[in-house]
Amino acid sequence: MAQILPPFTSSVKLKYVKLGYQYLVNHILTFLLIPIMLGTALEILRLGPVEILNVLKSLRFDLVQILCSSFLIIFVATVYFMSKPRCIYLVDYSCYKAPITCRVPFATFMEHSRLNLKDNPKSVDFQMRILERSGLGEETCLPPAIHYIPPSPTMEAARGEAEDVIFGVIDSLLQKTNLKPKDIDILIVNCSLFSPTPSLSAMVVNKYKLRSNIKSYNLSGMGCSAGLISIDLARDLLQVHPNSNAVVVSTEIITPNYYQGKERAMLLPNCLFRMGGAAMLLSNKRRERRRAKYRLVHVVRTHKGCDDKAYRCVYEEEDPQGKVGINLSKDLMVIAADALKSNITTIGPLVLPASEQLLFLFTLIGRKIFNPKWKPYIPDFKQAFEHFCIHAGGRAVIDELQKNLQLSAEHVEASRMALHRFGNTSSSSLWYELSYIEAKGRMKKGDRVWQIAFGSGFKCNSAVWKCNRSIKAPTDGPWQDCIDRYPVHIPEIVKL
Amino acid sequence: MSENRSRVTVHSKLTWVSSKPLGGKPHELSALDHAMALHTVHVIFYYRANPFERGLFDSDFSLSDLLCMYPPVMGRLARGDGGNWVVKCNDAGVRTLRASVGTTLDEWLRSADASEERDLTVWEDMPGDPIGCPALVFEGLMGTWLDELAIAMLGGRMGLSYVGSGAGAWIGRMDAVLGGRMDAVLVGRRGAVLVMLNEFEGGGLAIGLSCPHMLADPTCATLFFKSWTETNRGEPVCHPPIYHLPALNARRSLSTGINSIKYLETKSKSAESPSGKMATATFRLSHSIIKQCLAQIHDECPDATPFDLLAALFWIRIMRLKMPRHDQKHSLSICVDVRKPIHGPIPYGYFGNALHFSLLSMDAELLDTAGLGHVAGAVHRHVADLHEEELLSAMNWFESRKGENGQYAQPFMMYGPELTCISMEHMITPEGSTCESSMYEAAFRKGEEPVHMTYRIGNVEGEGLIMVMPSPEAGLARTVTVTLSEEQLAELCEDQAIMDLQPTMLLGGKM
Repeated sequence: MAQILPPFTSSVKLKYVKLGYQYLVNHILTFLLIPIMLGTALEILRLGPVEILNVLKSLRFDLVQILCSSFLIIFVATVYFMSKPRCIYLVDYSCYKAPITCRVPFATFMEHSRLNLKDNPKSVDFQMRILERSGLGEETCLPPAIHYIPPSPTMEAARGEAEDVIFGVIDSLLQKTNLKPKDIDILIVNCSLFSPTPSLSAMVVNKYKLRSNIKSYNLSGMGCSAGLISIDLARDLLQVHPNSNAVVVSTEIITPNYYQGKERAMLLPNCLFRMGGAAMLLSNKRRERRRAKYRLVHVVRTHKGCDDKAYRCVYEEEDPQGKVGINLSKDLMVIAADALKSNITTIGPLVLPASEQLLFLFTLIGRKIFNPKWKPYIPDFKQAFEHFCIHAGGRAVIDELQKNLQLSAEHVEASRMALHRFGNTSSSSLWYELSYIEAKGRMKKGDRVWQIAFGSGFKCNSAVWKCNRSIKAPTDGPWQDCIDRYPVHIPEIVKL
Repeated sequence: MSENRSRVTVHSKLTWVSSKPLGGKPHELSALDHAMALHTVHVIFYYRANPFERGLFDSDFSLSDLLCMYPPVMGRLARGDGGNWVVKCNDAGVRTLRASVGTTLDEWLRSADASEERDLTVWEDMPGDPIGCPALVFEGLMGTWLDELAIAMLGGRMGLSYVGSGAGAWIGRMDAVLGGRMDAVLVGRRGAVLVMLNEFEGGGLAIGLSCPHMLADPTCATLFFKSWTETNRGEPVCHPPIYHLPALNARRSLSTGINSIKYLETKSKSAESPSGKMATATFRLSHSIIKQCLAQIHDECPDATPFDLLAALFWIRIMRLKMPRHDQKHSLSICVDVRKPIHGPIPYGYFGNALHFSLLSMDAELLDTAGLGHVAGAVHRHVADLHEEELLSAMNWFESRKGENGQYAQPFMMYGPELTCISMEHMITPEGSTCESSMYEAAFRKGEEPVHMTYRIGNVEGEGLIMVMPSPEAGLARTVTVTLSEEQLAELCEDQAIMDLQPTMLLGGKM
């Protein structure tokens, strides 16, 4: 999908031409307005004040006409302000930090794997190869039930993990934002694979004694991109309900879904998925503007489920022995790239500066009319965003996106480091990455962040945030005790 | 081996890791460590109250924090380059098991015997290298090892099963049966340290710690455990571990200690003597009784320590049981730990083996007729004459047995074949020191000291083993554990001289 532009574009002279072109096109209105304003000002000065008054008198305004015009103006202004969508602010968010006893070093993981799969050395070898190349570190965490030999994934253990993660993360959020539980108007919890009755959102309502007229939603089964789907839902609800707070909790409960069989394609998630969770406070209240960290600009959702191959590429099913696991198909990367292209095509016009859009338009027209062999122009998203949060689905995903979007190592550093420190925490990984950028002190006011998540189905969702106020490091968060050690160099293959 | 179903049921198994990733170079084992390769160390602490009631994951993270100081405990034993054993510090973790015992703590202390007590720890046998096979892994649950082994041999395919102690001869036969199927057996590297938490009915907890003798001797296993309790109480660790001692590796040619070297040479050449069924009994002797006895022998041996007294006493009584022949010399192998609390090249915190074995011989006739005081005096003189130079010259001797490529020689039985007596006197703190070192101070919560402590050495052969250890009662009180053949032990327990000491019998089985 990605085409690298021909080498002559990297020559220095062309770079300045490009810069000049960008400045011109992006500020074209300014460039047009300035001469007009100058002209008008010159004309007024030339005419002199007496002449202007004569011109005005000759217009012969009637009182009725003046009143109607002003009412019209006021009416139009009111309609405009009423129909403007409300600003959605992300006041703050918190990420889950697992207790150190849940840590899983590589050697422990491999030993357990050998003991649990003692009749399947090939599967054990496969897991070892995956782990070596996974980009994970030695501090990722698995829930307590998985530490047992063999793992003991009871429902009680799953509920226990859910309580630990969700309550931990909400406690932290309430403390950070000074929010009272009674002030929560909307609650959305998303957890893809664990969906008990009563739901996890009911569990939260019960624990924190939330109001009885709360609007609570529980999204399950929507994969790793469910976090952004929840944000989208919260945004829509906040448009309808004025003056409200919405709490969104994104997590993935690993205990009940740890695959216990020996099929290789299904063992892959075991190696990558780890404990994690995040809670966000979104609000449309005016007064939150002062302390909110981010403002939500766009959410773009792309669903490729109409294609059968995309639908089946991440599929939960039973293996020949009857053990349930998630089957990842071999063409996952291709489908992901395709979904990304689709998403980019939608989000491009919304965020790209005019210069890039024009170039893309010209290349598109050129390809359609003149020569289909022209390479399609890949817009430079680095001009639209300062920071990128790519879902840490695995090293391959990050590599692929880095290549496709032509991002530098620093742009994807947050994703790689979050994968190394926390593993693939599914829908909450985007928030760990955002937290990393903040902890490094790179988040300034006005910076735009692009969060991209992929999920089963196959979905590609993006969210664009704009930083509302500069965030000073050191921040409290999951990176508090280890940010000084990062970034680390992650070798291609870790020798186990 | 108990015929009945064991009262211990293991119900979960997991791995405990440190709070920070450790890593680092492989920890090399010294010559003396390699020499102890055939044995395993098992330590069991009994507590009246269970400090881990809420479950391991809910308790304080004391073990995780402690393990940051002990990378070798977290690692795995493997053959390094050059063929010698090293501990690969790969963070694999301490295997932890939880079990429940179907009886109360007091009932257990009264009625359980040695084989049942073995159920409270995880027994791993060290295959060493005489069979030339890669490390066999023994994990899983404790069953009757004979059944498992029979199934394995008949089935010709060994999954993971247990092999109990005394299995040196069995392993040789296993290799012959399994032949080329050893590749199916090898499952990675061997575990190093294992911990087992056994909960008794009505409260009470027994914590069993096992490790290969190559990695740690009983003293440093106890100190590790003690550090765990100190971390749990929030206190700083008294004796942080020290891993490398340059003094230990220095070569010195010494003329002293020739006796020990001769003794070690004889030991290395002695054939393995298959021992019959062994049994163990524990005698707890009170402070007042020991004081009385010491007063009795004061004339002949004014400086006698309780160890001297008890070693002498038990030696005499056991010799009497063995139909002594008056023309022979009787020997007692004395095992002493050479760590010194303050001075000396081997500090208390040294993590590794620092045991010294030496031989004390006496004519049978003299042993029979001379009084307790005389024998105690002989023991006392023997122990007092031991210096660290002796240990260093023994170390030199082990080093000198290295092969051409630097590989250490085959290990041999260090405990045995004679009657061996182990002294734990170094664990008794002299009055007035700042840091308590006695193992009975190892309390997880203030005020909950252990009620009993057991040491077991795996794979001991020969005539028997006597261990003189401290008691919960401070002062001169001691606990003596005796391992002998069954018949001899039964007679010993009825021996008049011993009964005169009014011992409390513990863990003697259903007697």
